[in-house]
Amino acid sequence: MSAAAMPVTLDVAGTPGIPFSRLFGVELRKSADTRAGRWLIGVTFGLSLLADVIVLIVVVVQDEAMSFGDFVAAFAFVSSILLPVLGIMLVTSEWSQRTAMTTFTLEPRRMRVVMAKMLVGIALTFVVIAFALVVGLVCNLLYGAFQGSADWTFGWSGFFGFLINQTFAMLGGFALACLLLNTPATIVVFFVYKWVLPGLIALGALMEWFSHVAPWIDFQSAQGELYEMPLTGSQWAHLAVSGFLWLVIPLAIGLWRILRAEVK
Amino acid sequence: MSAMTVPATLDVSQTATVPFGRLVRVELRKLADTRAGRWLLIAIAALTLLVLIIQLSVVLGQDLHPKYIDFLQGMNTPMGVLLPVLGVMSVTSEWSQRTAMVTFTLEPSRVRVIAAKFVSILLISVLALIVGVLLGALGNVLYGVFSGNTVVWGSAGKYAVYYLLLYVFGMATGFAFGALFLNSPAGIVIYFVYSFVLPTIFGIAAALMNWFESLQPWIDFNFSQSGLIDATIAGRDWAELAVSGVIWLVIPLAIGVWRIRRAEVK
Repeated sequence: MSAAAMPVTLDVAGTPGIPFSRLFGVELRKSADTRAGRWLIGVTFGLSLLADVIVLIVVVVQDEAMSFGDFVAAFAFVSSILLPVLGIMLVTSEWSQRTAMTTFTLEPRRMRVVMAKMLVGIALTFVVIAFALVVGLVCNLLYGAFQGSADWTFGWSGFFGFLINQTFAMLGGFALACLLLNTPATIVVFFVYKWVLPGLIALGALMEWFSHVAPWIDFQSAQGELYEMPLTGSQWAHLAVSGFLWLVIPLAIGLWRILRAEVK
Repeated sequence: MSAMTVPATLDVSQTATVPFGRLVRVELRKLADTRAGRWLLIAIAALTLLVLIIQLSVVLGQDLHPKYIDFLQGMNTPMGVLLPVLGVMSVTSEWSQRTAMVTFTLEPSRVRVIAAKFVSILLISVLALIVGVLLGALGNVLYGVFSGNTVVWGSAGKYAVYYLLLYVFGMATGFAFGALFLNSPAGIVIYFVYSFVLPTIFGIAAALMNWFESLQPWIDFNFSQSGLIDATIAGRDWAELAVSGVIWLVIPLAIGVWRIRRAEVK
């Protein structure tokens, strides 16, 4: 009947897969050009900048001693509170905004998408830290201009400790997000983990038996030790065990869940 | 042509409006029978119980001498963190789950719906107080039984009033932030920044500058509520509580209600 038969198969054998760098680029863009992401980045930088400006005004007015490292630390402390939320939303927004359907249709290998998201989270952490260095530099130059002399002391050990702490904070949020796949739930659980749990563990550690267990399950205290390099053998062991508990297990269950979750 | 003409107007002048009591009942139910609300309530109950158990085993194991108010303070930690989230979500879930369309079609007077929501979170605060007071009493009695020491109750009635105020302030502040942003993640994150991060920053500023130290109680709502937690509030502290409460609770709530009245329901 018909003149030409339509091909019933689509030959994609010659089509190359989506390169990982493109996935990374797309995920990076998603973190910044959505309303939630843009505001979060704006608020993070705005608040951190404000904190440094206030610190600068206060130390100049009060004639306090301040170093380059202190300015960097002030900026980084404020930004570290909101940064993990960005990591959380990288994952959960796919579900809350129902974009998972499109994302996983265009790249059905879900693990590659999740890995791209995780790398974006780590990359954003490094960007914020780099920005903290620049802002700290400017603040310290201004401080030097007002006070006559500036102190360029910068604790490298503390800096690396901070770098690792920030990365762990971001990954901790990321892991919980994979586990719960729900923005409000993850944010609440993350803040409880970050701000309430340390107090509870400290309270429980008043008991003799629990004070021996606490270092093995308290990931945040174990990370805190990283500010004072080098670590002893038992400190490394505490870090590994508590990190396994809070980072590796939630991430493993979360990844397994994403691989099998119904995309709706 | 047709046998009967269909009436072109719908006469609702005899139809009774939705009574306020029903609105409150509906809003209360919405807090508990949605997935998010139910899990939040379960989490609050579970964490509160966990804190009580930890606290009890610590004071017994260490041979400490806690009073009734120490148990109330312990349980205030999980409740103070999670109750406000319930307050935020009672408003924002209408937007994130798109139920606002149905809610405001069935009751177009939006202020009545907001008032019903507010009353429902006040009722939850009362419920939280009852649970907290009873669990605290249980903890205190168990402490007395196991340690053999004399149990100290203090002025239990006064504590109940103070902790009711704390729970109401917490939930209402969450509610106000929810109304202001109409977005669950934004409301929750801003609330946590306000309750965890801001006190640290205010504390550092107060330590560095004398003039700020005297200003802080008037503008730091978290700080001025601390007198309620340890029941030492007196005299001028109440004025500080009122002023800081206007800044962090009344003003956001007023702007939020104004926003909800005018917001596009989509």
